[in-house]
Amino acid sequence: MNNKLNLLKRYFNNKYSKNDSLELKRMLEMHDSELENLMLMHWEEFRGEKLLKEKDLSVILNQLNDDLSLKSQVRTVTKFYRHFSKIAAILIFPLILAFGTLYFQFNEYLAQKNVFIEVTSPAGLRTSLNLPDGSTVWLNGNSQILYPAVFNKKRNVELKGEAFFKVKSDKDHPFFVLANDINVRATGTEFDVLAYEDDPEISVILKEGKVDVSDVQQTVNKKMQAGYLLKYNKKSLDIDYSSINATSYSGWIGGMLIFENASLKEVVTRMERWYGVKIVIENEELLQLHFKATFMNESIEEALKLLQSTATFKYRFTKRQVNTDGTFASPQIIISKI
Amino acid sequence: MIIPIRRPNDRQCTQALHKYFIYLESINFHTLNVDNCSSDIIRDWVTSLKEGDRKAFNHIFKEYNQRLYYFSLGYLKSDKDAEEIVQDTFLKLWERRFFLKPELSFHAYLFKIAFNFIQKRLLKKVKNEELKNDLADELINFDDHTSKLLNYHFLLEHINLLIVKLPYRQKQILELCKLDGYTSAEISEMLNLSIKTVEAHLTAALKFLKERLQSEKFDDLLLFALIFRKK
Repeated sequence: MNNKLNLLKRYFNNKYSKNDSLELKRMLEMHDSELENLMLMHWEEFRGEKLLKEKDLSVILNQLNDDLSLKSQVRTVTKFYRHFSKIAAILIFPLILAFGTLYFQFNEYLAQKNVFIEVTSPAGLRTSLNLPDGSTVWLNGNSQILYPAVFNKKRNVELKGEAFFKVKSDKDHPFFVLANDINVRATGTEFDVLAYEDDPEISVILKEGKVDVSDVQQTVNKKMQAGYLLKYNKKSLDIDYSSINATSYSGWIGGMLIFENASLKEVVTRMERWYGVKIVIENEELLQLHFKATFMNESIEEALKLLQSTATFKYRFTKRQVNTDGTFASPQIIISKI
Repeated sequence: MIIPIRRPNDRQCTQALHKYFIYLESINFHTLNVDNCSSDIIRDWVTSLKEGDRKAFNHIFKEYNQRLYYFSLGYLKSDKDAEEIVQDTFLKLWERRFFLKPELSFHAYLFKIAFNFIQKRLLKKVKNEELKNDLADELINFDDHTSKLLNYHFLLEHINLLIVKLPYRQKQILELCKLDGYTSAEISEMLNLSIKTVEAHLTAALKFLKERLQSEKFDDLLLFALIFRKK
């Protein structure tokens, strides 16, 4: 022990041999407490045996004092943060509660006030929208939907024109579509309702699930099944219930105009709504024609040309008439026999 | 300390000794001020320091900085390193002041902090000197006797001084090879010289160092240095 302490002292005083240097290196690389204990002994003994000139370290002291002042500033900032975060933690729950209550009250207020939203889709355009309950509605051209800003127990919407509904399932809150005199009740289904005011009939096409269809007078009450079409005649109050290919009716959502053995009359009305034009049939005989076709992204001229390839008729565009207020009337197409 | 390392002829010795005595007179020596404060006072300071008292910190710094500086200097043999040890140790002391225990020896606690810093630097220093040791091995054939001589420090310093005297290219190549550890191929690429040229420079440099070390009778030089320091 003493030998090694002397070795350290020899190294300390620059009077060491090559062997001393190797031994010190070995002790350093051992990483055990031997060197630390020896050096501690040396430190305890160390009283400055040598004559020494005082080393001026005031620069270091100043530097240290500056560093510590900076650190204490940082500490006060963190202290403030800690204090603040405590207050924030206490306040956050009442605040959330207050905002939550406000939000619900506002919703209730809207429900009580019966605030309604009306969305209109003009001729030739299709609109899709999300209802407050998460259901999705595609609104065809020339159609209008009216729904409350917040649904009550019943989910009631009013429809004029054509719309495809994808109702979010909720058995406790049935979904009602009121279209003219017809009422469609659904919980979670996909269906299409066709109720244009100028049409003699109202159609309901069920793609998936189940719906109940009834009229206001309760003369009709029909449980529909998927893949069926129900036609309700507004005048005679008769219903026509038949199996169809439901996808051909809901094709318009994806921008497709689909005709499945459709009469010229039906083709013309649907094309009028689709393209926002006016079509006139000159010859009564043409009404006998039936068509099967699918259009996607075609212009009206392209569509008419394609229809021409399956049946013999000709068409012409009239000059657009100028209205009294200076605007142009929508274009007219006249279909006639060759 | 001024250690004149030159070929010691009589005239030079007298001159050097003369200079040394003038130097001794010019500086104001005093013994290191340790233990001028009683352990009670230190304990009070430590208690205050634990509570974050900066005045107590300054007192403790003034009490211990000289001892710590010279202790570190002895081991690290570098003024800059010793100053950094003082700074690092006292900074750490402040950061860890909450762990202070006034009833235990503060003296030993301070050492424990300082030791960690000293150990790291000393290990680094020793590793850096490995190549220098190899160079010394190459220049001098150490036997049992010479390995025990207490002149190793001066030998290394003397070799350093001799290296300074080498022509520029030789010095550059010797340092790259023997102190930085590059191979002669790497050096030839670095300096844009052929490998043969590099090796020729290296051989010449080593030959010069060897001759100078032998002609200067190193044992005598050591004896001279020891007598010189005892005065």
